[in-house]
Amino acid sequence: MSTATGKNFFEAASGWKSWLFTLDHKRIGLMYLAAVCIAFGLGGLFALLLRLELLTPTQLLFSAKQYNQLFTLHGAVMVFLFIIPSIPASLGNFFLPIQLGAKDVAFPRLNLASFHIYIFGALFCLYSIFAGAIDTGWTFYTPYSTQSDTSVISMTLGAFILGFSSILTGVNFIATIHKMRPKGMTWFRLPLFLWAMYATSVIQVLATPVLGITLFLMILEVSLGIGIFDPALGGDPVLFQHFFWFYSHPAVYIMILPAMGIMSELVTTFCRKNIFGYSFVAYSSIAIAIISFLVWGHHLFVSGQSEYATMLFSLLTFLVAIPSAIKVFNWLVTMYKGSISFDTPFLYFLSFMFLFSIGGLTGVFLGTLSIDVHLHDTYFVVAHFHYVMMGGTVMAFLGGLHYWWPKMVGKMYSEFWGRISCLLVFIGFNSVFFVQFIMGSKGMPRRYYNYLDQFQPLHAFSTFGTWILGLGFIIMAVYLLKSLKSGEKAPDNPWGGLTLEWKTTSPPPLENFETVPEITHDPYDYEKAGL
Amino acid sequence: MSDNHSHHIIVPVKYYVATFVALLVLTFLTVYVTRFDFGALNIYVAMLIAVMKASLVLLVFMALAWDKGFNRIAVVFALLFFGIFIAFTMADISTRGSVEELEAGTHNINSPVRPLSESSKHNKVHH
Amino acid sequence: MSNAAPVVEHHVAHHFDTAEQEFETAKLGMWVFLAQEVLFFSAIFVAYIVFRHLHPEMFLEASHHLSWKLGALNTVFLITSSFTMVMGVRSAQVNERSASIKYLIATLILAGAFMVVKYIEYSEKFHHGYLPGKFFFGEGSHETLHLFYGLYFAATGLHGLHVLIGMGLILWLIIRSLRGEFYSDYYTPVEMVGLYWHLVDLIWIFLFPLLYLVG
Repeated sequence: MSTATGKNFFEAASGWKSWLFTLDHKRIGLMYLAAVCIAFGLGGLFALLLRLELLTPTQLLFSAKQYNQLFTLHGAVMVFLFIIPSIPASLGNFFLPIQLGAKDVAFPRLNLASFHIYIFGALFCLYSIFAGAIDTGWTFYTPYSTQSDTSVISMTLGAFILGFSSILTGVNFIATIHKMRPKGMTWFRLPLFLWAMYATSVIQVLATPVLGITLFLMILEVSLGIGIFDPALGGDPVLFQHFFWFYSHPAVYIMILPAMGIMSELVTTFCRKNIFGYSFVAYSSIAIAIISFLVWGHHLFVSGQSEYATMLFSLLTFLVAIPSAIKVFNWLVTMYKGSISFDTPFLYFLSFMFLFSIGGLTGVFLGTLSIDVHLHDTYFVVAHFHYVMMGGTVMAFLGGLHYWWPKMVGKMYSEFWGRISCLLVFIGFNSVFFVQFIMGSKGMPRRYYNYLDQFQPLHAFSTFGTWILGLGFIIMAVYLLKSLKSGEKAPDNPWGGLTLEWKTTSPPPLENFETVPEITHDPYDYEKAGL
Repeated sequence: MSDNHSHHIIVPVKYYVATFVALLVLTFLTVYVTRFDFGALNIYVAMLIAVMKASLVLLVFMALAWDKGFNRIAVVFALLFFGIFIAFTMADISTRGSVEELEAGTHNINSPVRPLSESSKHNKVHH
Repeated sequence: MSNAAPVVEHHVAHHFDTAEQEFETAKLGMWVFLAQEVLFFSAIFVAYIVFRHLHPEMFLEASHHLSWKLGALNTVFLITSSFTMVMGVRSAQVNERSASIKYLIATLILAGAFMVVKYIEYSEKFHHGYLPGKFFFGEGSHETLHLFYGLYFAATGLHGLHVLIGMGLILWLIIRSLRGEFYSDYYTPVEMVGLYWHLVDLIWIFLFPLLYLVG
């Protein structure tokens, strides 16, 4: 159905000011989308460069210090500028109000502020890249970070500022979901993407400030030398690690929960079937959010933490795997006897299922204390977190992007090139990272610039993989951008979805709906809808 | 056009005044209890009084006593995770062993603290 | 008792259905933000607990160098300011504009007094060499004394920053009140700043005994 006025939100206003000072959550979402994609490209560039260096066991292109800077910047850009905001700020901002049935988020001006703060923080990070790029690792461990002559303060300030952006987004989403549900939209009729966004927002609000204060204390340490993290002054460097990981562990669930939300959307639409175990999936999002705060010490197993604390954290880490496993199981069962269409978004869903399962299981290995003693700080860890962050979050992000692209921009992309790109990304990803599990278990340490000759074949294979991966992304950028110009006009509901965004136009009008539909059934009720 | 008047609870002034007075009394108590030595319990006594003061501010001044559900849950969860942060960090710190060693300062740190001179020893306690 | 000048009417934002929804949403958002603030200060308290556990005697000595009288005075200032703040909100609720403005001004003055006392305390500390970190040159019988002061300045500095921000917000409220923007059907910003201000008081309620009254 087209709008009565015929105007979608793009047409509602024009000019750069109508974007930079917009209060429309959809425009803010799109600006964030552009920003995080650029950040992904930048972080990816650092990855390509550092893997290039690792083609040979000894120096190839970069000095040792430059190598340290490369992996630090790769990590910092990818974590703070890309993955944390990726789904919530872009797809979340765009679709949360629409899927809810609201006209906007609770605090539109705060939303815009959040975006401006993100840009401000990003500029700080960019500045620090060029002004003595930081080389401490994205984890900024003391005492090295307080002694390094690189741009520690500006990068930590950048991350501190970015934290506020994340917190404000979380505040906005929690308020919106609580207070702006229309008639009939009870909690248990919310699409699972919204449950996921809610749980993510809870973590964003409660965990991110701890990163803020940690970075603040670190800046005091660097500039004033207060000494609480410095053993030479009577402090404790492991205390920094406790503070840092109290945020950064829940942060990885900020990364994966929205992705899991997207997975629920994709599986129901592309299998034309109701989700199996809606309430289990919903509750497991909340469970993950809560338990995620209890396990941070598993990053400190070999740091000097006491044995008793280590055992406690190892036990709790096993617990956090359970709700994730419940979700994977439920998605799998949802596929059973579904009517499956293998469109590009669903190919990303399948990629996630396979890759996240590997990533998640290897996380359990690492959570097992006796094994972690051998695998800590090896490539096994690097492979694990790339499987969950990239094989998990990025695959889901791409799935969501391709799923919702027609709705956001009103154009269809090339399905052929979409599948090619997905294949290249899948093959490239596994080429890069599967061998890293092998390398790690054979003892190859992470963040090492030089390595023993015997690891070269695997390193080289991994590096070649990055080129395949890069090609996949370049193709994706091309066909997505091309679709904006010459793509086929998208119908209101190209995939046959049942959630509210498919009941409005592609792209939606300024206030999201001509009239907000009344909600009378569950979000994925294909049987009832008679489809 | 204010089509609906806010149905907000207007708290009688006497509640605010009573809370204010109670807070002042508890502040006096906070200082007064330092005259007594409860040994290891000192900190817990001080914190108990502080928690009582905080509860008065939260419930009356910040109106949590009359508020709807979720606002209270937000506070509870914030405090809960704060508690976990303290508890688990201390689970590490307190079980590392060699606390006596640390106290005895056997690790040769670069301390900026100047040793007390004879003349300044009696300046230790301020007014 | 009631306003002399005409009231500036508030229009409910387009994405809300009722004024009630708008107010309750703002309140919920503010409470979520305050929850975040608690976690923001949390690490300083954790660091305090850790170092007090490890160096109890040093904390005793360090705390004695702080003036408990000034600390208590500041506590009274903030508690009173919390009272005047909540009275300011209530006055707006019942359309007593000039009373509301007076209470807000009183809150601002008390906050200012707090900062003045802080300034006095800091100057005194600096004079005796108790400065943060590498600038520390004070005397003491414990070699880890500077750690306490690092935490002291971090905690009170961050808290002081929040007081300053609060003062700015209260000033903003006074200006808007004078313009007649708050009345019984719309006083949301007053309530929100009030909640923020009470949090500032809450943090100090814990900082006072922890920093000034060790032993």
